[in-house]
Amino acid sequence: MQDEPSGAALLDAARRALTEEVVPGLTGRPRYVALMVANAIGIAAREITEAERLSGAQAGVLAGEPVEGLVAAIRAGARDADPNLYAALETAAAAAGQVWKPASRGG
Amino acid sequence: MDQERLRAWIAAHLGRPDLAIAEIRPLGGGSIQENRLVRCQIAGESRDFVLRMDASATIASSRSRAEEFRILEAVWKAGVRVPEPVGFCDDPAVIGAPFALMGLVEGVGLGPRIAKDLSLGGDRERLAEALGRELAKIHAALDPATPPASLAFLGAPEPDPARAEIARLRASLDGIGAKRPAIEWGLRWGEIRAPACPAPNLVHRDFRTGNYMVDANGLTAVLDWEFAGWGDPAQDLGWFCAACWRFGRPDLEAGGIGSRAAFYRGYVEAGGRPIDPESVAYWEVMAHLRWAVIALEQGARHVSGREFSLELALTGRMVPDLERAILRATAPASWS
Repeated sequence: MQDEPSGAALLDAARRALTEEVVPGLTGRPRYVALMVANAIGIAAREITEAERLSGAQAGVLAGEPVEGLVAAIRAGARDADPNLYAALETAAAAAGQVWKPASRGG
Repeated sequence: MDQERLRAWIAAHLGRPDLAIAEIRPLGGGSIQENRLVRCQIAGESRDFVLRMDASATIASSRSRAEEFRILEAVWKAGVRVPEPVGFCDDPAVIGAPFALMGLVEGVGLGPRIAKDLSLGGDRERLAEALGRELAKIHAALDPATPPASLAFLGAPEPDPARAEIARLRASLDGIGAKRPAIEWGLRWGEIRAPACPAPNLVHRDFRTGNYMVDANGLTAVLDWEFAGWGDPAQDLGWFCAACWRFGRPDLEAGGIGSRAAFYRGYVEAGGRPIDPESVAYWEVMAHLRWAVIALEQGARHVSGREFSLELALTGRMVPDLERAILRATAPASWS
């Protein structure tokens, strides 16, 4: 049983408190740093929430191969224009991109 | 920093023993260099300099401060709008590290601020034209066949700049142990689609919004020459226009500040070679690849524990966003 609120929900609450209550009173470098902190908290929270989707997408890219092998195969030209790999890479990049910046904020 | 030693060096270099330093303070700068403002007094008159030295950790692919200074001297002589190169001190005993001294240029350089604050830079279409003209001047500043002796370190132009760039990016990835299939996918695409470069010339290699300064009227200086060398002029055009360097203004294809047409117009009017749009489009994809690799390197500086920086840590995490853009541009149908 996980305690409530969850780690991700706590991070989200921390980010909101920071951006809504602390940031408005700051200027200059401290404001910039506080916004970076809020950004970092948001990424960490979304990474937790999206963990399953991320690892699934990652597994789709690797398809059972070690990442070193995949990298070597791409460099050697063994996966040129491979539509299956491309689709898996797109899915993985979209999942990871969602962690960096939610689509609702434009991207 | 030993202020008296620095004073003595500047005084001797300028032949003005009466020079006094009024103030030294840090300037906002890049993540590779530390810049300091040095305000001096000579016989009652102020002269302000920027002192540029390496930050604690550097990106391996950037040139030494000494080489950057030689390039700055060469483009200054060719009439490119850059800070005046005043002197270079390679004796680490003076302030603890080699440094370059340049004339202070007033203006704002921060990319996001320039993109947002329209009171800066004057008319934006004219600014885009001016940047195009400046880039044409850079590309024509030196003849790769007969470079000055001070630039011997540039070596001979690479016969295939695009593939040479790809080899460098792969080496950078290997250097930090980064395994990124999406970036590898893009680099392999780049290898296959590499355009020929019949006539390499001097390229800046970091010519983008954020690396030039503007005042209320327009362009005041082109900065950050540490990546300059021989290369494909389309690389600079692509780097400047790449979607990843538009600072929240994707509609303004010339660096988030103006139209691509205005930028190209200035470039061609100032004698730049005819622009091959396909080649520039290729280098825009390469721009995302290069920025992704640099972002990974910056993230690695934090991850390695050598340098604590939330900014670097976050930069490392923006890579998937760049990977998405890379993938969009390199769909299987675009490989042949």
